[in-house]
Amino acid sequence: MTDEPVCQDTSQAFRIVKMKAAAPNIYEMVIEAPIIARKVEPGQFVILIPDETGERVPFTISDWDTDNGTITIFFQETGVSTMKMACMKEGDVLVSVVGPLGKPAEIEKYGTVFLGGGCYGIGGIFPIARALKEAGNKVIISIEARSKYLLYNLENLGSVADELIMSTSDGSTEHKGKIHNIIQMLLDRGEKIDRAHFMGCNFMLMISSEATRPQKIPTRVALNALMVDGTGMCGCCRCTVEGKTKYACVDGPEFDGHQVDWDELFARGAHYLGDESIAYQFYGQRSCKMDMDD
Amino acid sequence: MKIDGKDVEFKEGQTVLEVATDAGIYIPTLCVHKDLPNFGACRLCLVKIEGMRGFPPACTTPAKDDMVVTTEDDELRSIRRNVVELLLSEHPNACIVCDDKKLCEQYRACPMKAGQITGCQLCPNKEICDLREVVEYLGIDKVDFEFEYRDVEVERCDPFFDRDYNLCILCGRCVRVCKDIRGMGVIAFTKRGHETRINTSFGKTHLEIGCRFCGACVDVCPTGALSARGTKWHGKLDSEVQTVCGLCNINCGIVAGVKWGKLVETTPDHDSYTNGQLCVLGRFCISGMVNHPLRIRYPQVRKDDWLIPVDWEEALGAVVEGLKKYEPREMAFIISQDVSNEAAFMMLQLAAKVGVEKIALAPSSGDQKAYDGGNAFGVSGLCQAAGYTPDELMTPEDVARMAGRGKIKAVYTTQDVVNIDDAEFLVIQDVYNSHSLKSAAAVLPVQSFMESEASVTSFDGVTREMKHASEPYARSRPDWEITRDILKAFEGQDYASLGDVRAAADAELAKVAKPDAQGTTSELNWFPKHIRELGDPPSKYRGMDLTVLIDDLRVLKEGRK
Amino acid sequence: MSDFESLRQKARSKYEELRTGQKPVIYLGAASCGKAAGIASIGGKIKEILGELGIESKLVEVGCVGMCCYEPMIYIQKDGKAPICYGNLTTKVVPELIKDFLVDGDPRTDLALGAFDGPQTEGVPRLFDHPMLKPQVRVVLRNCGVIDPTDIDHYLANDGYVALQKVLAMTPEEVIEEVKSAGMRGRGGAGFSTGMKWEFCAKASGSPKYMICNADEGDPGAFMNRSLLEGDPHAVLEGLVIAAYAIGASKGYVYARAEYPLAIKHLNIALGQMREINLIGENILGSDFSLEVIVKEGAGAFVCGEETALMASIMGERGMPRPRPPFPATHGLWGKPTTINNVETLGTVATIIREGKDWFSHFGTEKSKGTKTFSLVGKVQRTGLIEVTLGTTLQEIIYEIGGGILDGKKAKAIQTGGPSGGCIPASQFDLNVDYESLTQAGTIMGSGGLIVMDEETCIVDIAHYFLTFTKEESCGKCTPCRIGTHRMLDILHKIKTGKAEMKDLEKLHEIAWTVKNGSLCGLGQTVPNPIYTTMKYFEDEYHEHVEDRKCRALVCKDLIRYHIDAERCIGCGICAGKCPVDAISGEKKQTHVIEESLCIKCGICFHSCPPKARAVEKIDAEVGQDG
Repeated sequence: MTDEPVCQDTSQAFRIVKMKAAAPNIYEMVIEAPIIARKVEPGQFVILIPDETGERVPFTISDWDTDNGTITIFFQETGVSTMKMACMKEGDVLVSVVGPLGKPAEIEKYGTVFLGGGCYGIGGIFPIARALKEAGNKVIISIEARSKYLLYNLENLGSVADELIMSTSDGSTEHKGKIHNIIQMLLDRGEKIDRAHFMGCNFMLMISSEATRPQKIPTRVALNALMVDGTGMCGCCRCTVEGKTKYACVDGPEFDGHQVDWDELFARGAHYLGDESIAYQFYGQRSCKMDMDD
Repeated sequence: MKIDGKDVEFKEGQTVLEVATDAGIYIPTLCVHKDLPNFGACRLCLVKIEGMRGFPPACTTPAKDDMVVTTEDDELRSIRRNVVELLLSEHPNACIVCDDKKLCEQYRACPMKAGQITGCQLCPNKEICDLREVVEYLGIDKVDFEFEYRDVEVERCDPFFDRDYNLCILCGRCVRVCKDIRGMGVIAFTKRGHETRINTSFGKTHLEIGCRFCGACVDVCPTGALSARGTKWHGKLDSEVQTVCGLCNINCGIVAGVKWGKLVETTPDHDSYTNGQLCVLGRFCISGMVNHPLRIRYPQVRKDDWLIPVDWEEALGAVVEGLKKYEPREMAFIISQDVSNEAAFMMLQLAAKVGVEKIALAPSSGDQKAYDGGNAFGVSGLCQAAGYTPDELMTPEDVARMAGRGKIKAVYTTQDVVNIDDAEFLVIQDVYNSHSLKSAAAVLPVQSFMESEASVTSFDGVTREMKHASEPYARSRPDWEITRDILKAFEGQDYASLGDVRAAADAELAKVAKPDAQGTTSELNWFPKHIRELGDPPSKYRGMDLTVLIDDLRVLKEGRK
Repeated sequence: MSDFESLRQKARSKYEELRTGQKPVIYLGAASCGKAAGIASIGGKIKEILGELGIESKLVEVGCVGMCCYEPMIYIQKDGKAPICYGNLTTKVVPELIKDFLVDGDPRTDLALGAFDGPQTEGVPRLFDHPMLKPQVRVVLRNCGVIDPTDIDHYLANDGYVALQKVLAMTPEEVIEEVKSAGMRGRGGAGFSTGMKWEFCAKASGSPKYMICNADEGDPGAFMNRSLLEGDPHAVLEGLVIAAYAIGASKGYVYARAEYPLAIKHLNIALGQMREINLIGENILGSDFSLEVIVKEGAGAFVCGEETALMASIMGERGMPRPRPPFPATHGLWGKPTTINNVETLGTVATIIREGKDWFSHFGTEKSKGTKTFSLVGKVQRTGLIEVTLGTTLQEIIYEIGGGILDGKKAKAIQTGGPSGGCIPASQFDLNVDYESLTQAGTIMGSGGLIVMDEETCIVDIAHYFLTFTKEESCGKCTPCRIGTHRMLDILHKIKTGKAEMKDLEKLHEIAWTVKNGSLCGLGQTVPNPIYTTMKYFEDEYHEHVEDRKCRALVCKDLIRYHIDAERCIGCGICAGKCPVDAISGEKKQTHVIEESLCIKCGICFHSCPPKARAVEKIDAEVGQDG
């Protein structure tokens, strides 16, 4: 696959060159990581460690700049580690960034491809869309959020989409509803969809996949499994696809959305909820502006 | 008077809303809170009263003889609906109007742990959203306004709680509880008109402005605008246990929230003698303390200079064997002020059995109003009942000094003691890994006051019960049980159950005169007043400095300096 | 008492001496309005010219007589004759006037507006025969602009504190009865019986009791209270002491906005003088009654005119209203029985006592007794502070006192009661101005602001204007007012910019209804009045904005455009030079053209086009249905 070993280059610092809130609770972070930027392909991810006592957390690479040697990730603050990250600022250095990890997304000329993104996936789906567009597909992108003000990355997506459809739960955009409602809407208007890609929370992946099942549209979903090492050793990200055991980190993150054992994925994902919640009680809560300004 | 055609009785001074509530008639409201003075801001409890102009609010209108009240009709419903829609036009409302609400809730049973709440399942108010209750009562499933997100930055600079004024509905509960109940007035309404916000003066942080972080504002907030940062993301609780706090001798009533068998939060108990008010320690620190990774997990015994985890039998065996090597006069027992009556009683029983006369106890201030250890009154009372005058009792420091001089060789302690390392045989029966562990011969992990049943005697002389709330941490056991087993090994009296011990301890306590502080506690808001006058209780538990355990507490204490 | 009588005697002769002395006296209209119009430089000029001419003359600063349109104004008194009033003065005219009159004896009848009461000068009409003053009945304003407000002797000489003396010999119950049966109603807006208000408080248990004068006048375009406080503070304070006596208060407050520095200054001077001669303090005029009065400065929040907010503000809290009951009469300031009366109400009280209830109640209508002051502003010829008997028609006020509409335009409507009031269309100008008639028309008396609008006023714009004010001034406590005003303004903005649909009008009506019925205090409950009345009386204009995207008054920027008439353009280039966005092009002497894509519709070209050309036109942009 690659001639260089996929590992951390200790000679360089993973400096944050841009840190910005893309939408409430969604952050865009651009990190200096030249080797990763040179190697990355759409659909791949990195695992990073925010600080010395931090844990390893996987993030989809949402864009990269080979010339400047940077990669972009979008993340939501959902736990202690992402809280720490949300409190970092430009110039801060991450302890470690490992990648690119996982298999790249399959890119070919399929015809009409539908891409659905929610939460971090609104940012993460972009490289796949771009590659599909370059491969000559008609690209329809739909993004979902609870409300209009939570949508972001619109300019990027608009630049590669033949059609960009925004849907919101509260109806603050033209379409009220979610990705699965949009799929139905497209099918109703006679659109022929040859392939679908989804990226977002597992719940959204599941219900969106259900929407493409009746038409047997080949559906690829980027699973969110708990991960530790990201190289297939620990087995933490084990999931069941087509009845077979797979590891999201090395066999994925993309799988056939119609073949995933969702219940198992949800159950495994919820396993550490207690510890995750409790961790807040004694780990660095100070996301303090004052501290940052000092 | 008549409400909705129903004859109802009322007491002088009651409001129409109170009378209706007593009569089982629901009138929606958001700004009313039973502990707070009424405010009349949300305009949901508007009713019609014959002979009165317009739509008076039920929450502030006093009930009068022969009043005829209508609580619901088309006009009232229409006002309420419009008011709630107006509120929702700037309060994230996807959780209310989303088509996939039901399915979503089924699959995301636990809220995500987001820093900024944007509606949906991300709201930390969990299952008890007052706003949602009202929405459901009014049957609102769509909001006829374009949603306008205020997009103000979430205030996360302070310890313990976040303030997200994007969710605030300006009910003013926090302002009222801070001013009227806690007597602080840290927060107030600022700016005017549509720009009105709750804030501190000049927008300073709560830390700068002298907030005591009692969390009363968080507890009354009907939305997720104010939320306890460390304890907001567990979702619906499995169980709630009414118990008391063991961090100082006031022993405030708290409700322990338990999920996954763990203590996930502590909130004030409104049925207790502290009337639903707590201090920063009781409100925000206990769950962090109880779940802290610094807890001692296993019984340990020193072998070849290493503390090795062993099973209880072996550990207790080693303790008994070790103690037996020493003369009683070479031994000292240190009883923490924070242990229960049962634990202290067992320690004294063991001392009597073994013949140990050197009992050490951190001295109480003797002042009923001052803060002492969680069971200072009980422990000192038991010592007194056992025949120790205050002069005969040593202090933990005395023990450390005598150990340093070789006068004391074996020490059995239930708290962390500074400089105790010189004791030859040191048994530590404690909650946290402390400095003293490095010279301990045996370490016995103890359950915290949230994990085992026990009783404590508060500063007012009343004995209060602590309940079993969360599952014991790792292999820890209750104090009294450990000491009982040691006593058994010394062929002392066997106490089969906690009940037996409690009965015996109570009998002992009954021998000594009880202090009486009823006068103090009869006032409604005596506890907030107590805190205002004396400051927060000292942040120590069994000799352990809580600021080491709880980072935010450290920030608070340092910020105060 | 005899001490006081001798004081009054002294004051009388002092005042008499001033008015009839041979030394010339020049009175300067130096209320805030006069100051704004430049009386200071006029005064400076007068001093200078008097010095030059070597004339010894007295200068007296008086309040405002209410003829705003003639500011700055002075009165000159010569040879003990009645002072002659001159208006619209400039520093250029003044030296001429002084010289002509004081040196050459020419009273300059061409400049004179009229002479006050007293020995008349030939050729000068009586001031009170002036068309602006003739229909007026000056009860409250009797001393305004006549006496020196900083000299208590002037007030004493004009029957000042006669009423107080009378009251101290009465029982509080008698005082209350007198005011009650005179039919006096609160002049602050709601029109509640003043006597009854006092009675509630007098009967309430609790002590001490408080008497508050509400001088937090905040309506845009209203200045009745300011003028009265500046021009005759003792009248208000006498009323305050009488009211305090009636309710049994031992402490009085005057809550005045800090934006009224002159009024506050005059109040404090007056209080100092009163203290000196025992009109306040311990055992007033030898009676058992004691009262302390202080002036409390407010920070200028409109909502602090609401009585519960006002009390919160006095107590050092945020000025936020609270629901009533309990009413201030039982639970007021510091939880004690309190009465709050408007400036004008208190300014009227002394006259009622002095002249008797029958004298007072013969003014006005059956239910609305007495007189009322109004500030008449907007597009009328003669703006100013006026006082008429209740029941006078709008017609009389606008056309007789106000002299009709400016520039010969047509009247469109009048807004009464400030932002809480409503718009009455020109077709209903025969309406009597009294509490009941106004309420029936959907508006309120309010404190007395009258804003006259002509046909060039867009009715949606007016509603938008008032709502912008109330939205900002809402205290933010209750939901309907805080968010409702914001949302209504949103919709009005949509209408103004041609983006609204018919269903928005329905929504507007619905929110207005909710705000009116759902709000906590008077502010919120009256906020929708401008919207209600404009939608009621000018429905077609709203429809025009929404359906045809048309603003007939050519006010709403997004619905109009500016255009240069090629025929009339003289190519002077003034407009092109002044255009801030360089949207106008054209060669010198050639027809100029406005590039509409660049135009920001500021209107500078329209106003700068020379009158002889008048080539720039404001026309309907014909946005049409598609927007």
